[in-house]
Amino acid sequence: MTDGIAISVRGLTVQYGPLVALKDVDLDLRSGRLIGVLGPNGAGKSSLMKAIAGEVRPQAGVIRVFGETGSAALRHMAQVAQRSAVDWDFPITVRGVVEQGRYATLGLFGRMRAADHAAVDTAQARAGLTELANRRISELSGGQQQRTFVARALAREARLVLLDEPFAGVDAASERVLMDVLQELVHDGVTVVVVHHDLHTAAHYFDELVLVKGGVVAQGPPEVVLQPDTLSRAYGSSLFVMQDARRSGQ
Amino acid sequence: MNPLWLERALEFLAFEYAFVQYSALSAVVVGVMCGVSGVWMVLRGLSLVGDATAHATLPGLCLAFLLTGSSHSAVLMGGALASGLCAMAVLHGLQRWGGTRPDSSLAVVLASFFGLGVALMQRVTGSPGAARAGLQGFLLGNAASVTPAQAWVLTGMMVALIALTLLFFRALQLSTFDPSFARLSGFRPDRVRIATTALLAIVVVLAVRAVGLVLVSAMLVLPASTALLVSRRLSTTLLLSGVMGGLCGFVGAWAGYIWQGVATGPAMVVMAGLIFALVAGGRSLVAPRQQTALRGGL
Repeated sequence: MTDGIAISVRGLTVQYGPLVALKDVDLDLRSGRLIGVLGPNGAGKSSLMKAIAGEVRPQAGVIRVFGETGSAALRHMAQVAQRSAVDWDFPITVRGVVEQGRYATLGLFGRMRAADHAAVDTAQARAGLTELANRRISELSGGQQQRTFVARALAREARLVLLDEPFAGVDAASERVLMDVLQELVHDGVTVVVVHHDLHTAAHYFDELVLVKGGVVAQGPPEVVLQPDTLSRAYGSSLFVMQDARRSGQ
Repeated sequence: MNPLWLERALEFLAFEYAFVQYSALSAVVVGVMCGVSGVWMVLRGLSLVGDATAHATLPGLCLAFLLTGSSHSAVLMGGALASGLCAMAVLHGLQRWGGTRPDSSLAVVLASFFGLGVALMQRVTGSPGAARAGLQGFLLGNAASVTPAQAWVLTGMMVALIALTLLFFRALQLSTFDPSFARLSGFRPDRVRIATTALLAIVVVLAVRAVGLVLVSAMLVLPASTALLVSRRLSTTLLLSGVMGGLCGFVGAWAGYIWQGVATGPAMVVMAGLIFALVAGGRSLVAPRQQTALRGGL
């Protein structure tokens, strides 16, 4: 572990044609923490996540994950896709998705061995999915669907888990269950980075917040980041939102 | 005295004549190939791309004949493959750089390639040796015209397709389902995408002679869609779809033998449509919860 830093970003610029999503971003995220990425729509939250996951090629900058770059960096991470990006009609069971977490170590042709099956069982149990293992994913609720993907990340034994808006379209009860699973992950030393849009819950959920708007506006513990003057630099002057957020943050 | 159709139906099943054997073999093989590759196509949302590609083989078939004067199968297939791939490239270009909506670009490619094909077809029918080339057979499919050599080549291709699917199952499944996670797991989803698209073009071209280019996409979509209704695992979907494709191929060749003038392709598609209607209809009669139970081990 490179001096406790999970992700180190230097001079990152991401641009889509003429549209600059992120400009010259420097960011260090410590390992073993539950980190929330906040910001208004179009602030570059997803771009940041995609750049870390190697999904968009940045115009400039270096991203290190546990001190490594390129495909060596990718080995450390698992990603939970936005629910809207998944084909829920795909013919696959919960167990089938969780087994995909073993593919990285199995490669193209390796056979699932007892240890792999055990890892899948454990991941399913921790995400509370044991009963649902043989369900087709189209037959799950929104929260169960998200937990399936988190279980896959668990089976992957990733050191860094990235989630983009995992609570979108998920009811409050499922959101809490999912949060518990993520907190357990962090407890085990995994770094979890979540793109989140709800300022009200952000204060309770995360150890650390990163506020993004075209770059990093603020970073630190929730009580520091969720200050009206800090928030207004990202969100403009939508005052009542900020005050609400502060109230719930206190 | 049995009615004529029954006599012919039994005659077919006796497999006495070599041409019956080869037409049945090729129709079954093409059905299986369409069934298996159709699953990937449907799951990747490429159903209409398959349709456009199939229609786009016509100008290639005609040009290959007009330019070479040869009706050799390899020449015609080569032409078909070239124009099918060309259509895919145009489609890709239109969607990426042309600013055309995906559905419109599909319609543009299908219509313009097929239109060109029909125009060329009229030239072909006026030229000497046209009847021998049997280009008309490519429109609606005619498994009876398949030579033994062609039937064996098709069988080899089917074996290769199944072997590739089994061998690269993991990469295919993960890249189709979640390309981002596939990349993070060390796979190359971009290569898988190119390979499956190319394979789709090859299957379309191979299937055109038996099923006909107008209806190839139906054989790619119907078995896969039927299998997807009843299975909850990809492996089961592939198996069911392949079996259903093969069964439809057999019935198609059979019907073509019993009733002369009935082309293999349409008969295959009618059979596939019937099975789909039965399964979809039957499924809608049971409640979602029971559907889960009925799926059982599938």
